[in-house]
Amino acid sequence: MEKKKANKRFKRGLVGVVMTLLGKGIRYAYKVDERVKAEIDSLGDNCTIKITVAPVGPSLLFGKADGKIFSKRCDYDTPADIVMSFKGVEGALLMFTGRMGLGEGYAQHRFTIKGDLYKVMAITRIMSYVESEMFPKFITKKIMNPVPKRAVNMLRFYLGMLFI
Amino acid sequence: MLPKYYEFLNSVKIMSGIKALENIPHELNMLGAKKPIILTDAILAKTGALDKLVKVFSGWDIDVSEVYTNIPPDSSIKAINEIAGIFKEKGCDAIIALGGGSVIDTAKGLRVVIEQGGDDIMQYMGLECLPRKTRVPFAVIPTTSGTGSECTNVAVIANPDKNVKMEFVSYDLLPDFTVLDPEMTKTMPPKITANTGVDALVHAVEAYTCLQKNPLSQSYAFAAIRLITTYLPKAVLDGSNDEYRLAMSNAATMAGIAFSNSMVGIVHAIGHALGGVAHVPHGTAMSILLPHCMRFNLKELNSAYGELLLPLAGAETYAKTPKEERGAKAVEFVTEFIKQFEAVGLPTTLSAAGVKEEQLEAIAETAINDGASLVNPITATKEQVIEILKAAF
Ligand SMILES: [Fe+2]
Repeated sequence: MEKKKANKRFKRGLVGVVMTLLGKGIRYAYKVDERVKAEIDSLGDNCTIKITVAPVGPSLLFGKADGKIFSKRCDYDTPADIVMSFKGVEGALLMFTGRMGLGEGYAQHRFTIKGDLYKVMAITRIMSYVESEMFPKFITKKIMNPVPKRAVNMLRFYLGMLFI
Repeated sequence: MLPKYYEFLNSVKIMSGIKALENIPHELNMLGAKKPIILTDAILAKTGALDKLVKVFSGWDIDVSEVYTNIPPDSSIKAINEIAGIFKEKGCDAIIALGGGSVIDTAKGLRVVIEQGGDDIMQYMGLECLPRKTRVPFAVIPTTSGTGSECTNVAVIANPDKNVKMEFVSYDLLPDFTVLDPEMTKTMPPKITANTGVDALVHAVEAYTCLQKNPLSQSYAFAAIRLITTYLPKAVLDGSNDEYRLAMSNAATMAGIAFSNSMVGIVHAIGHALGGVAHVPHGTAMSILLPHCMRFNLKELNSAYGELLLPLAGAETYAKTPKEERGAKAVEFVTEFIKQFEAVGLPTTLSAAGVKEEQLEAIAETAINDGASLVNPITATKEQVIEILKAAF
């Protein structure tokens, strides 16, 4: 029982780490990938998106506040314009380790969304662009059809995103 | 063959057949309803469908005097708020929707507002995020056979003040029961019969092939296609025939159950955009787009479309066609199948439907932002959508 709990805690921790990286990736991609910039700008100057895992998190908040891009880890119940909430940590882990695409996650009912569903496609594309920068192609080609082209090479992307 | 994980729900009781209407009071009575509000549109009120419904309540201790006929063609939050006011003021306790897609969507929205309370339905927009509250008994009597809305977990409601459409996806949108009575679809003119029927065909084809497909939804889709290819041409020619009408109502409902659990793909993504940008009626958009979108998906879906050749064209053609050619043959069949309805005025090109070339860009931009794009096996880019639109022009 204790071991199971620790295991779940570890998984939540891992998802949290990837979320932090993803947040940095989104911010860096906003700078170097005009497709990502266009998609984020299309959501408006005050649109926040929270990705979280029920029932306690971890949670990532990103988007634009007063016209400026930001990303940060946040509390489970921090409000946001659009909230994408995984029903459990296993589904989140599959997604955040590049083993399940967003379309597949949606098809498998792995998450709920609160807010304007018409903005979800833009978020999906942002994720696809950023994931295709962060993950090698042998992973992304399993979860995306087609895989978007990289804007910069993987090493440069990681260096850029870690120091942002 | 089995997906790694899937969910399937159809909790709607289906009452199908001759004189099905007569059983409505009993069902409502069992659900504890004493004063339902009837939602319908002005045309149905005029053509006698409403009278037929009201008549079946005679002798029952159920008050059906509250009728709202002023439903706009696009279900909107304004109408919903107005009806919710009447519902509360008059002490109504159930909802009956008699009509096509917009009446049914309005009724779904009304139920959300009444059940969830609060004064802003926008806070409930989203996917699977409606908490269960005390249920308001809800019956749907479709008067077209196409949308399948009587068995779907989706509602789209316009918010004209903010100039946005709100989308709700929740199992809580499913009605308690639906009544498929051929009497209710008989007045549909041939052109509407054809284009709503093709809408049902698209639901079935997309449900069978999209990322969210599962063995249960595929069974419904497969069976629906067989009914549509057998009975739609007959129902278009002879709309007064009970058997044909009932077959099409069943097909539409089954296709609705299928896509409620599989979602739809690129045909609907572009079709919604054609409606939004160029005001092309939904069924017309479906008729124009289906062959072209199938061609776009063919390289990914060759074998799935090949399987569909059986319910589409029948055993004879299926057996005669070599396996690797069945997918392309299915596309060919669908193209010809839809083309026959040109005779009753169904346009099969975008230009014939009044779309202007300068609108294609905006249509494509809207289409790639439609949620239905997400579960299409190939995520289409804007350029690819423009190619499809040009081919359909
Ligand atoms: Fe449709």
